[in-house]
Amino acid sequence: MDQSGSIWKPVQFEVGGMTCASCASSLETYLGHQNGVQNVRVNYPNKRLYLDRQESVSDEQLNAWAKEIGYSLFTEQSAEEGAQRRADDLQKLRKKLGVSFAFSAPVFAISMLFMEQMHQLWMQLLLAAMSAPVLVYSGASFYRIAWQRAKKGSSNMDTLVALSTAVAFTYSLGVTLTQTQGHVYYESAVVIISLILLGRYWEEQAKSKTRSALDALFHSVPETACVIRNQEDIIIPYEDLRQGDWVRIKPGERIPVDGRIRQGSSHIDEQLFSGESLPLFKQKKDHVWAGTLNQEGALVLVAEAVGQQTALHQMLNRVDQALGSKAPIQQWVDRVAAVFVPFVLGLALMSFATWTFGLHDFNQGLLALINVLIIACPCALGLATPTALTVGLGHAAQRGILVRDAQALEESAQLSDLVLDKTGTLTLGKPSVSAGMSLEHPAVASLLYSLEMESEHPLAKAVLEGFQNPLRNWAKGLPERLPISDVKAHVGEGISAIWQGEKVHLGSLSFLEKKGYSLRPDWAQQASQWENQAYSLVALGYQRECWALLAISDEIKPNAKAICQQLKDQGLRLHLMSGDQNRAVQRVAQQCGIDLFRGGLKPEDKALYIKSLQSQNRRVGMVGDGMNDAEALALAQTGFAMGNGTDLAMQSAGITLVHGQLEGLPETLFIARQTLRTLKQNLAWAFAYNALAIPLAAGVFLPLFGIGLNPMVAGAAMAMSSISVVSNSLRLKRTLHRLT
Amino acid sequence: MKYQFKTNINCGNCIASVTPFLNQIDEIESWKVDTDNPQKILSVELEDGVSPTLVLETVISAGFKIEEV
Repeated sequence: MDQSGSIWKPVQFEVGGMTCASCASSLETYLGHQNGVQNVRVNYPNKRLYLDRQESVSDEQLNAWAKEIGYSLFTEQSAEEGAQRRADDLQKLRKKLGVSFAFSAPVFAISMLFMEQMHQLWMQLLLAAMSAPVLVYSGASFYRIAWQRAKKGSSNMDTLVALSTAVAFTYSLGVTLTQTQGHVYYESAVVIISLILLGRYWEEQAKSKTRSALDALFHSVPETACVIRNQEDIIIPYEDLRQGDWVRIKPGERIPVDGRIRQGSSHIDEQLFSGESLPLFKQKKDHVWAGTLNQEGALVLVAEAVGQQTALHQMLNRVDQALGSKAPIQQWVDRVAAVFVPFVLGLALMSFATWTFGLHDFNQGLLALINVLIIACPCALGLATPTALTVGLGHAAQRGILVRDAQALEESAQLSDLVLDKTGTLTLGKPSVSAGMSLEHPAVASLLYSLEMESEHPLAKAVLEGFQNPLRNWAKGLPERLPISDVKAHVGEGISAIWQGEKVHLGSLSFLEKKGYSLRPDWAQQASQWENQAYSLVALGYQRECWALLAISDEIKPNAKAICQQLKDQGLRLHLMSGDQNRAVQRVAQQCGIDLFRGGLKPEDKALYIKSLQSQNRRVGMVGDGMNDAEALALAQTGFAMGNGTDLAMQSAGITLVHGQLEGLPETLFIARQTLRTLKQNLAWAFAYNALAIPLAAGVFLPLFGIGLNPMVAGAAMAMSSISVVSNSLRLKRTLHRLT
Repeated sequence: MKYQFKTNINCGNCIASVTPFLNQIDEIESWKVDTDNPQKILSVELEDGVSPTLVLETVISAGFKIEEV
């Protein structure tokens, strides 16, 4: 087919029928090989498919291809519809689980309690009747997925479950119906299905809780905007905004477009992009960005980019894509199963062949084949992953650490580098007075207090909070409010007033210099030192003299240094990244003992930094709180979002530290590493007992010692492996409680 | 400084197409077209010291006819 010159159109779908991370890669590979389709990416957690297609390829055709390997595609829906469908899916799974447990519990109880009566026909028929719905209804998806995988010659956890339950059930049914001598294994078939469904249900439930903050943000723009057309103010719907419109922005309004200021001046809160909480002063010809927040002034902008063209939308699109392109890792249990299944199948066939052709005993050969398949599937497999994860995730949740899914926990156990955002992550995220000098005069504090009460400048808040915070020792108690008059704000510089007939000034150093004040030499020296360390300075001048000098900065959290040291002790290389100016980043890096730092970064620069580390085969974690961190959080192997940050950051990250607590970082790493270790041990226990019984099942000892597989041995192996797994997970619980 | 021009900016649609061009010019403080006037008068307030030819060029580049009154 000639595809030259044709147009590729990006589309996205919701995907139904994906049950594991490797489903996502199957779908990617399968669709990627079709004509007229390229750039296929599946976002497994969000169940979304992104691809570029040619016009010749219809939605129906794509859906038909997906159906061939057992998935279904839904065209892009509204957020509510998507949420509704996910809720329906969860409901369906809950029903399957309910049916499964309702039948499995009696089957299991009867099999264990009435072993003596097990040979009776009515008993076996009862068990068969109760087991059938579990296999046919609840377990149907295992067989479907196993079959689809088998067609492509691969195997996973589902294969193992499908194979062993099917063999156990049909063999038992055969024994029942023909009334031959033999043990029935109905209970092992249904218990495996129930346990594994339970694990799936937990996982789905956790996933369904991560709501689409991204969708919400795409639609969070104001519904209307005020534009000036032909010298008239008119209110128009947001969608009707055009490039070149003059847009009126009232104080306190969110800015709807990327544009340039034509009239007015104001402080603009650009935290969205820079992560910095300190609003920037902007005036005529300065650029402003959609999504940022106008503070005190009224503005008129000329729109330079609207709707999808704004920097905000482009950033959101990149976050969406980064989430979509994240390769799902294969879960441990699937990794083990992928090796174990062919191994067991090989052994089963070998023992069949040996008995049939070597020893000319077809009946014994068939029995050995079936026994090996049944004994190989450990019930404990269903418990191995969920019990360890329940303990690990549960303990994390108690410590205020929300882990989205098993993958996030697993990845965080293997990190080599941790990239930290500065503002709001390592620092408190708001300016406060760090140091200061003043004349010994009783009126100093009162003057500062009285003037700042009149000011709307963002730094004024920091100074006032200093008075209200009893922990700050430079101000003792709330000072008296002095009668000042003629208060005048000098935009972008400071504030002036009259007190006792003389002018008093409060503002930046340059403002005071302009007003004719001069600093004492020792103060000037200190001031330039502070400026070099990127402190913001506020000075108070009265009677031609500088009365007070305050250094204001966004200080590091009290435990930041200790936490950074702990993380380093855990073997991590730390990086500090920020949109703030380099000198400020350097100061924080030094205070926290971080060697690698970079300042002045735009959101996409942070993402690039993560990518470059990953290209050096580092496993990178990212810690951040702002929307400007979202893309980096999504790209990193593990994203840690501060719970007091933005919704988008939390959605992009796999792990949320609910209270924004830094100590959650070393704790997460510790919990993740311990949990992963337990999980691996569990899998080893689960398979070990059953693998040991395989030679028995194969009949190796039959000719030698006359010992064959008997139900007692099979039962004991299954029970032992389950007990080992559960007690090993409980041991994890004790370890975690002791050490965190 | 206020200036007035005769144009063929006839209706609301014409105003919509000329808007992005005039709006981009920082030196224009405000502008308005009176489509009820048969001469379709465009009144423009320019920053002091800016030549009105800026308006002529802009409106022509938007595809309309314009002359000073």
